[in-house]
Amino acid sequence: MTQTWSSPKYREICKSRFSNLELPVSDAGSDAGSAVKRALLSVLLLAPLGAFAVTACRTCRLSGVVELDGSPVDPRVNAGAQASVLIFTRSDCPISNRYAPELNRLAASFAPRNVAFWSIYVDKSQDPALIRQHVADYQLPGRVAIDRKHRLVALVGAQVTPEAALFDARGRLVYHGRIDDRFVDLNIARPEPTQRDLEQALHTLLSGSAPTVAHLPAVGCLIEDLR
Amino acid sequence: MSAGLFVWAAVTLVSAGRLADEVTWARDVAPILFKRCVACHQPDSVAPFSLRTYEEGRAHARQIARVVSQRLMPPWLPEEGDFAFANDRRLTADEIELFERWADAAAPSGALESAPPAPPIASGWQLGTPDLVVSAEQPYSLTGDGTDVFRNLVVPVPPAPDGASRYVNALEFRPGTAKVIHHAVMFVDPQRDGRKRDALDAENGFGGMDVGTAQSPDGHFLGWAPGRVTTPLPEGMAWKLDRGADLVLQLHLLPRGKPESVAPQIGLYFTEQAPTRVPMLLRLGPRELDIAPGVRDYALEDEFTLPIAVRVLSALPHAHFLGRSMRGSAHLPDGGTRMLLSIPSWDFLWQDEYRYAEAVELPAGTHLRMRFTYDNSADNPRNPHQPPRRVQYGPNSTDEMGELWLQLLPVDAAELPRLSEAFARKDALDHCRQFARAAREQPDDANAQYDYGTALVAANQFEAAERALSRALELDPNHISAMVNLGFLKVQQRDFAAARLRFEAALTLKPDHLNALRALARICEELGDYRAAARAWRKVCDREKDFAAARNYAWLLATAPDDEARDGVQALTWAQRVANAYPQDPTSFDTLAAALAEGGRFEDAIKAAQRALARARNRGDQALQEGIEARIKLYQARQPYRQPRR
Repeated sequence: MTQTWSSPKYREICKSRFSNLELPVSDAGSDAGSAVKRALLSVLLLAPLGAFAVTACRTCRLSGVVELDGSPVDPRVNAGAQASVLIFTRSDCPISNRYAPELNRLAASFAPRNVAFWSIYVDKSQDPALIRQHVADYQLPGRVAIDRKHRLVALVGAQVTPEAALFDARGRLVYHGRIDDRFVDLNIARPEPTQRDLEQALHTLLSGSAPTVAHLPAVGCLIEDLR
Repeated sequence: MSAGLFVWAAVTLVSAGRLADEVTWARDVAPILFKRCVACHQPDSVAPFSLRTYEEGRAHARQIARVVSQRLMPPWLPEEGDFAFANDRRLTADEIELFERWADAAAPSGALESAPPAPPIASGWQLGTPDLVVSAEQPYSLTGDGTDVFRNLVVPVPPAPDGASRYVNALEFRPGTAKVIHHAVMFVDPQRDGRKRDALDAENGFGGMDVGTAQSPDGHFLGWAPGRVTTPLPEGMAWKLDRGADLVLQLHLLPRGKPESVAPQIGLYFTEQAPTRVPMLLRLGPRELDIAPGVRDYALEDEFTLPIAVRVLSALPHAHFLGRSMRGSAHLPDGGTRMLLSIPSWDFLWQDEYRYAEAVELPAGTHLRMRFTYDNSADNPRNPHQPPRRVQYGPNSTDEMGELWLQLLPVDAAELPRLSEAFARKDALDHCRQFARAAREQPDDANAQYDYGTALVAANQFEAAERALSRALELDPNHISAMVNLGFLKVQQRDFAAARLRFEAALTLKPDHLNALRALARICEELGDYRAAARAWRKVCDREKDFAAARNYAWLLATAPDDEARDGVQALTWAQRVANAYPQDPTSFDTLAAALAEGGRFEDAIKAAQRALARARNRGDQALQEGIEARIKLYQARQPYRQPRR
């Protein structure tokens, strides 16, 4: 019953609007110019805020992305890591919370392969003390950052929590979207996921190729505006 | 100049109009949240976040707009029908639009100082201090991972100081601090069967949705879901909590990503007043359900014609993860049709009891119908089996069920027996159909034959029942339950000699089978073998504290027509025990009086008999009063009482 990664259904999804999205960071290669144009074009058309973030971060660090002690950080690139997984989350989203055991399982299974895990908190009203408590309660794996200005949200195009973003060793976004297909809608969950998309993307990336699917929509709590 | 003024005026007017139109939390959103949402969305409730303040609302504004416009929140499954529900939680279209406009405008606060105050947070017992607070002996530990859990916790109820049964006119459920209890259903378990199930594994309580002998008490659903307001039962509708009965608390638990300790409490509020109005729970829904894999639109239908006029108080539908749609309708004798309940899109997680705002009056002859549909295809994401499998009737959430329970009151209380008898006949036939299929499919399975046989006994189909039970015994000569039920069948046919052989055979295999011992004692009395009857009663009394057995034993020792069977000394010992333990029961003192008379203590016997007489009068038991009066005359004539020889 499990669908294979290259099944027709997924190939069709590959044609979705984010399939060619490649976000450059400061060490982007020689073809960075055309990549930027492509990225700008697609993002400009679809997500004006995202475009702003991309241009803004061409030359600067991610403004407003900080660790719990307030120090600025760019979770996309982690020294020595072959891949970085960012999970957009908030403490009071029940769907995010239900994924805590699954995230622990993934972090444990990819730990030997140098994959960095980050929880990215997106709600402006959640302070570091509350987040610390939440991370401890749910024993979330990896490191923690707060995306105060939604720079990462815009850069990835994240819509909901929980939503995953997978970056390669050079900090390029290779997959973003659902962790798996357990939730079909807010009120409809499968007893077990039939497709573990983040895990599959990680395997593909670590085997040396780019994941064939760049984006699958996630089900969860809508990320609220900052205003 | 004038054109500039005009533009300025126009801009001012437009922005003023916008301001007046702007949806704000303080003026528009807070009143709806406070009325419809915060009963659950408050701190330490089952809801994932609180919505009591502006900041809390703002932090979820887009999410709120989305879930209300999809009508996922507030949770409410029935569509609008012919009758209003008292506990309806739906938002109006205008309310939904306000939430959407508020989110689109980036959740403006408005003048917070002008917002209405949030309702007080419910804390403590809502109905005041309960007369008795009970809980499971141990909390249940729920893991953070995995899918839904159904766990049944046994809640022992300490007996009343006087040992009497009690009448419950309100029950309040408090979920405790854990946010994992999705809903709870409580049952009364007089036979304490739940304790045996609890002992089967190391964890506290027992799993699944089958609660064994536990039942809803006297026609009442005992359910709890977040946000439900607890109210006492209407006048005269209390339910009886028998002495020694446990409560069984069925919890539907949702893992939330971290382990939780679940320790709910139940507060009981008693009344002195015995019920004068006893409702009935009428169940529509065949127990025969068999859905092939891949079937998208399986229909389950049932019907029942009301023999008397009733008032329907509430409806409670139930199905598992394959359930899609549900309809319950009433077809009136005048040809009209009324929709009692229609759920277009069933969600197992949000099952509830739907109470009618006003009782629905249905005349005698009304034809009740239910029709549920099920989707056992791979396209049903909630399908517990991937790939789909054949699913049959059963209590586990991987099986399927279809039930529509209606809580009814007869318009004329005296007619209730007509309704219960008609319904018992239908129910027994349903059981027969359910077990007939299994018996056909497994002709060499002793248990399948046995189940079918017992269902036939309940449906008064004695000849077929005897065939099925005998077949079970052929297949398994040591099937004690088949022997016992064949014995009861013979009692039904008043063939006491044959019945005795069956029970004796069962007791050879299992000497402490209490039901067989009790039956054997009665049969021996019927057959006039009083000594054998006394031996059987004695065995019951040695094995269990059983009021009726002890009283019957003492009565037989005091009053048997057979001199060899009587034993005045033993009779007095047992009769005193019974009278001490159950002083309110008239038969306790009637028995004590007979034992005293057998020992020649006629003055004491008369005093005891008079106490018995007073209690029989209180109870309005005419036949017992006459019997006691006749015995008092005997004792006054210094004669012991002898029961007539059979």
